[in-house]
Amino acid sequence: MTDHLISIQNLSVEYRSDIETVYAVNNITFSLKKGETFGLVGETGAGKTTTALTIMRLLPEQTGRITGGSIDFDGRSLLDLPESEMRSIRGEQISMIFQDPMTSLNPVMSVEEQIAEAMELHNRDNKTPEDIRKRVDEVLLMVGIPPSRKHDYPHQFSGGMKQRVVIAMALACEPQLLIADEPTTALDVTIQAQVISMIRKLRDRLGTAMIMITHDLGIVAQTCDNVAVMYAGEIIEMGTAEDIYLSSDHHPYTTGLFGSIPNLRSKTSRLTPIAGLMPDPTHLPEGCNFSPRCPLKMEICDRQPPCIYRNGTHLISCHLFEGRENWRKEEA
Amino acid sequence: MIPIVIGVSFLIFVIIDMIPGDPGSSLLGAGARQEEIDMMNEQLGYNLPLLQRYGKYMYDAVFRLELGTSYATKRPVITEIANRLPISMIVAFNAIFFSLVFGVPLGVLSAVKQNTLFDRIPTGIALLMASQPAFLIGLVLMLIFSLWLGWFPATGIASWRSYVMPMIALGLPYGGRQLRFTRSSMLETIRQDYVRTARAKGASERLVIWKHAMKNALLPVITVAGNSFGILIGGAIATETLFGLPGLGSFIVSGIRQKDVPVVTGGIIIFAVVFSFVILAVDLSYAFVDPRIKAKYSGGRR
Amino acid sequence: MNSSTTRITVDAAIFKKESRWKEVWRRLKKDRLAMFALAVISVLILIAVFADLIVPYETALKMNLRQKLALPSATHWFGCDGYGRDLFARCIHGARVSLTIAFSTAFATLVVGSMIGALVGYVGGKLDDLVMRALDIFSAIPSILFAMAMVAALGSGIVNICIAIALTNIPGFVRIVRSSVLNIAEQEYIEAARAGGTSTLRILIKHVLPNAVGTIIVQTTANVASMILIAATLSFLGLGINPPQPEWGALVSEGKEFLRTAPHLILFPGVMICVASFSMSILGDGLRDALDPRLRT
Repeated sequence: MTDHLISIQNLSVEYRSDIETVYAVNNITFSLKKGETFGLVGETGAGKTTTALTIMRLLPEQTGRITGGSIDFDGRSLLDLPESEMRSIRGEQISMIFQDPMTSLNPVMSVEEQIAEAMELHNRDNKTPEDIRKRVDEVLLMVGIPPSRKHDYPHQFSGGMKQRVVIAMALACEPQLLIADEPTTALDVTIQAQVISMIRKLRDRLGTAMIMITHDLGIVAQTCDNVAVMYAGEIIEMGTAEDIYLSSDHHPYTTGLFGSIPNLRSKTSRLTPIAGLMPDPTHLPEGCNFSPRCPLKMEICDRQPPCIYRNGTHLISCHLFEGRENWRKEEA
Repeated sequence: MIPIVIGVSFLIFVIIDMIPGDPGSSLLGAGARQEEIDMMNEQLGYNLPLLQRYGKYMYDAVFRLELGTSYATKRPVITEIANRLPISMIVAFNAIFFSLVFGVPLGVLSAVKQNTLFDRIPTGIALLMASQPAFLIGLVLMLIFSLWLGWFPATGIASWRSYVMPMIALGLPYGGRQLRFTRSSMLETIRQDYVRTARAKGASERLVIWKHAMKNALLPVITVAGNSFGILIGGAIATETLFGLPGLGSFIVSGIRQKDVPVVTGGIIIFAVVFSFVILAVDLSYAFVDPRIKAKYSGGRR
Repeated sequence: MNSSTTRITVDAAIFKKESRWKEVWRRLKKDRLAMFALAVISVLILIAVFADLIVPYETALKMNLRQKLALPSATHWFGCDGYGRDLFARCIHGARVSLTIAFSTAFATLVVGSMIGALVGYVGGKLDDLVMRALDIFSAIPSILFAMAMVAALGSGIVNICIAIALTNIPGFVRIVRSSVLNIAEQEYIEAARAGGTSTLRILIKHVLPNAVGTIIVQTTANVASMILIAATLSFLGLGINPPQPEWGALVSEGKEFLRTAPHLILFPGVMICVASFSMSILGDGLRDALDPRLRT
């Protein structure tokens, strides 16, 4: 456990308002080593962004509540840190980039100011303004933006370039962990490829660990070492990229996800989407969360939530794997 | 802007033209002879068709700086206006200053401390103030501070003291509006994604508010302040009348009562023109501050 | 099991259409402050409508110089004004005048403004340009000034004030409806309706207006609140209704002569102006929150 960069254990998060409580994240556990890229996959509303915000401790103050679990980063417990220390971690040791580049940048500040700010906030080795300016240039070059444009304002850049600026800001202090929340979802496909490729190169160059949050299985395949599939706030399957892409054993939801992808090679007349919708996060079902939609559902699935079953590095939370060959129940 | 000034002046001219009465009889009085009246009317172009009268009026106004003669005082309207306009302007700007000084910071405070007492109390008072007509607040102030306490004179412009109560009477309702609007603008800004980005960079809450949120939140506040200037003028006129300040507003009011056409026409048009200038100035300053708009103008696009 | 999933989708469909207004009402009911304001407004409206039943109009006009400037007492709840007229009666009938002006002008603004705004916003083009230019000119004149000019030209009296105030407010309302409509018109379901061959008028009535209704309602309540103040200001300046007709602003104007000796003369009508406008504003805020809780600030 100690060689892990970040380790999340039994984390549960709720959003509480006067009307209702949303159970966004329910008892998830995963960890990353230094330099590892971890994919967090799932539909909208599965709890991925909430998990990311919780790691950064950026949950909305008035409604977000961490109801259980722990997050250990670099030997420290993040959930117990005072805000001032957390602030020094944000942007410097753990950075996050968000989904929509169009609105992630402050419209009235130049690009240089915003990137420089990331460095000024964490200026441990007392860089002079001159140093910082030079570093801004370096960082812009790193993401493929000519430094001559650093005095421009966000609205003068295209979507893809804005996202590069965001990435530049996030990597300016060379953090140990980068959380990327659907970084390319709002971009068009050709730009997506460019940005992903750039992220990969930077990651390799800087040795940054990354949590890649996405619903796009293609991106996961291109970038991730390990993957976790989230559904209704829980991790229902987790393993290495090989486990997820090559193994024949899967959680029915994961099978459904793969089945929803159009396959260029084989002849299919129709896509097979997963029937139904994710359960209402304010009223989660009693047994397995997926059972209302599960094509392989058994009687026990409605009554009892499943345990976690392990086969080497591959973990699946599904009653189907009870007693199956090679699969052992994982004691919590 | 020129077309608007023309449009406004024409509109006013047409409306006021509907007031019954001719210049000849009004200026010369009831006892004058009919021939004299007719001659004066002819001289002033009263018998010309509307458009020509309007043209003559505008020509006189712009190139000869003449706005006619007051029926009541028999003095040139332009002189009266020139004397009175500065007073109205002082009252108006005092009120704006007062309202911004109180409204904006409290608005920011109530947004930052949303749903706490620091929010509910200022917001409640702001709404209460914004629901009052300026003259009512003025009367209450007058009652307390002039009649009971004797700190400020009730009417007239004896000294700087005379300007205090009008400033507060006008400034309070306007300030209430500013507070509410600043608050909602601020709340909306705080919810923006780029604020979240700033926090993710490790910025402290204070930095986030002061550096990132404020600048963006205040932009619409400037525009709204400019636009609500029209409402301010309404209150200003009533306040001038109440406190007996010899400003343009009270001048126009007495002009209407006395059916003094040149005064009313000239006064309202001048007021409207000044108003347009203020709006223009606000728009320009907005362009100055917001880089997105600045780009539009400096890029040569018009 | 399939039945639970179908139930989810069917519920979603029903929820959308029918209970939108019930939903809004439910949310509004929860806002205690707004409900209180609604109660106050209702009381004021009832007073205005049934003014004659509460106190005969003659009482508001009857002069009695022996009671001149009387302070509030058992017989004269609000005291008497400078002519010995019962202030309570004058306030009650003043309510009728003030609220009639405020509500009728707001209503006129709503009807005319919505029609013009929706048409112009949806059709766009040259008509839009023309109307916007005209609006620019109207907006360049502060509304009080414009109302004053109208009153000067048309003379005083309730009808004229109503026309004057309505005219000054219509441009602003048109702008708001127009921008709301512009927003809606961009939405895809309008595109779809047009592609399906629906006529412009039908689209306006069936699709555009219902969605703009929220903005219209909220803006109208705000308008009533401000028109109460504008009417009062005009009357205060002596440019409004004709004496001896009571109207709150006029009552304050009459009372200001006796400020030192009889402050109650400005306080009672003044408080009524304030309460009416204040309640209307609170109601407006509550409606806005109820109509779209996401906008809650």
